Amino acid sequence: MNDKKLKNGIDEIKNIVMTNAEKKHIIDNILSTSNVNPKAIKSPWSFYSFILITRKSQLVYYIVIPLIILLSSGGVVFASQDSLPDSILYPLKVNVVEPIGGALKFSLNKKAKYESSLATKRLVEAETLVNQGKLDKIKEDKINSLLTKHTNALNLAINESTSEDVNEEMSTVATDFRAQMNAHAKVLDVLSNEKESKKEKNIEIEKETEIETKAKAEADISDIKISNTARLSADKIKDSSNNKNDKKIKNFKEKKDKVRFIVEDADKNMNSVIVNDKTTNDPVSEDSYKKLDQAKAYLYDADKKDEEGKHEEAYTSLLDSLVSAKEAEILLKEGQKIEKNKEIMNLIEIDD
Amino acid sequence: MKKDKKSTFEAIYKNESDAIFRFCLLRVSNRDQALDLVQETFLRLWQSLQKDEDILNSKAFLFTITRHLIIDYYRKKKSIPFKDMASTDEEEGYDPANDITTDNLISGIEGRYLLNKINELPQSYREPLYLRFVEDLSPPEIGEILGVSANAASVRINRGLEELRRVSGYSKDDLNKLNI
Repeated sequence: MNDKKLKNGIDEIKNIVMTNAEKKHIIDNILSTSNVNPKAIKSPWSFYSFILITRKSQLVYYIVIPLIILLSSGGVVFASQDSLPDSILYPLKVNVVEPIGGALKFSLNKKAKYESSLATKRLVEAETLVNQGKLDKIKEDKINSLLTKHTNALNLAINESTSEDVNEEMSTVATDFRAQMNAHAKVLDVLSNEKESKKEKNIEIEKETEIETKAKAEADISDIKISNTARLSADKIKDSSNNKNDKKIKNFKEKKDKVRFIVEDADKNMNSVIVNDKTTNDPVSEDSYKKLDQAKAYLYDADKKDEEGKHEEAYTSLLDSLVSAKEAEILLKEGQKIEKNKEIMNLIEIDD
Repeated sequence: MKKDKKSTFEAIYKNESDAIFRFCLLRVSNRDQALDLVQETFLRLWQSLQKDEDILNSKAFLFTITRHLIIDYYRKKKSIPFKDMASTDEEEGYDPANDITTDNLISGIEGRYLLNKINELPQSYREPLYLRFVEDLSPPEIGEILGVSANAASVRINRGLEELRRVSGYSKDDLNKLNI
């Protein structure tokens, strides 16, 4: 009985059906739908969707992927900009980034300026390493070789310049280079001397055995070859630029006025520093006054030789005067920087 | 080619439209709404055929779509209290028994009785039993529709039968005679 009831129940449920009219209406509706693939509603975020963009065009792969690689490598390149010889990014900077930068300088002037700035950069790196007490033989040799390389490149650019306009600009680059090299060589000497004297004091305090102390001091006191290389580089560029000076003697008066203006300007700056009592008797600042005096002496000498008719010698003295004046300004700035650093270090020591 | 698709679609529509309509009507208890759901279900099938998508089992495909459309319908229809949203019940489904009655849909008393008894069962047994009993679907097909394995569907059917026997008074033999 129950069996029959159950079957009946199922049959009754199965009797629920659509009418023929309803069926026809629905199928007609579906088949008459012309837009079978309705256009998807555009997402407001589709602009930002990388996947959607790549789906649209295969060309994007050729643009976006290299762009991503470029941006990520750009980050590494940017990070390598301030790296020092003890950093893993330094080889990338000096062997890849900087040579590429040099290859993109198409005029001799720009190339010379670029090489000059790189040489200065090397000296600043050496100064930083000396300050941190991290300058060892390997790093020193590395910086030395790079400095020589930049000097040679600059020298080549100076020798290749032929036109008068280019020579004039090259002369400015050469004087700047000489001033930078000499000034930073002096700063490097002062910094390394200070470090050495500090180390010697520490060694005494530690009261180590005499043999060990001597051995350690000898190992630590590195003969700063970099400053020597810098001075030699300056001399080399001086010789090269002097060989090119013969054509420029006709602009002597004009040039002399410029140099006089620069010397006077440097003198004013020095005086203002003295008045404001911003400097102390540190060796770098002291040397800047000497250099200014030297600049004045060269200028006087240039005047004298010009009157005597020794035009070439006069021009050389004029350039020496210009270099000394620039050197004085660089030394003054560097001296102030060193003093500031010292003040900060003293404050840190007091806090400790 | 297009004609083939059309004839395929028409054949499926002819065979399955009533089952889909029944499935919808017994859950939404509104004829117009059930017709809308049937139309939407078959429109999806038509679009899939147009896109040359592989449909291995059209019956299971249609029931799966219908089931999801009904769930969407109930989601839109009533706001769900927070405690229900936070419920850990793993079963995704709907419960039309709360606010609708199926009494006016079936003319016969035995059909109404059976359906009421099925609706008294827990949610996890209700659908497998209905699909097995009324629509003659196999456990693998039911598993596909519910998103569970064929074994799990089979277990639910058997437990649901035990439960139905207990609440309805149908004997085990009666149910076995139906080859369930």
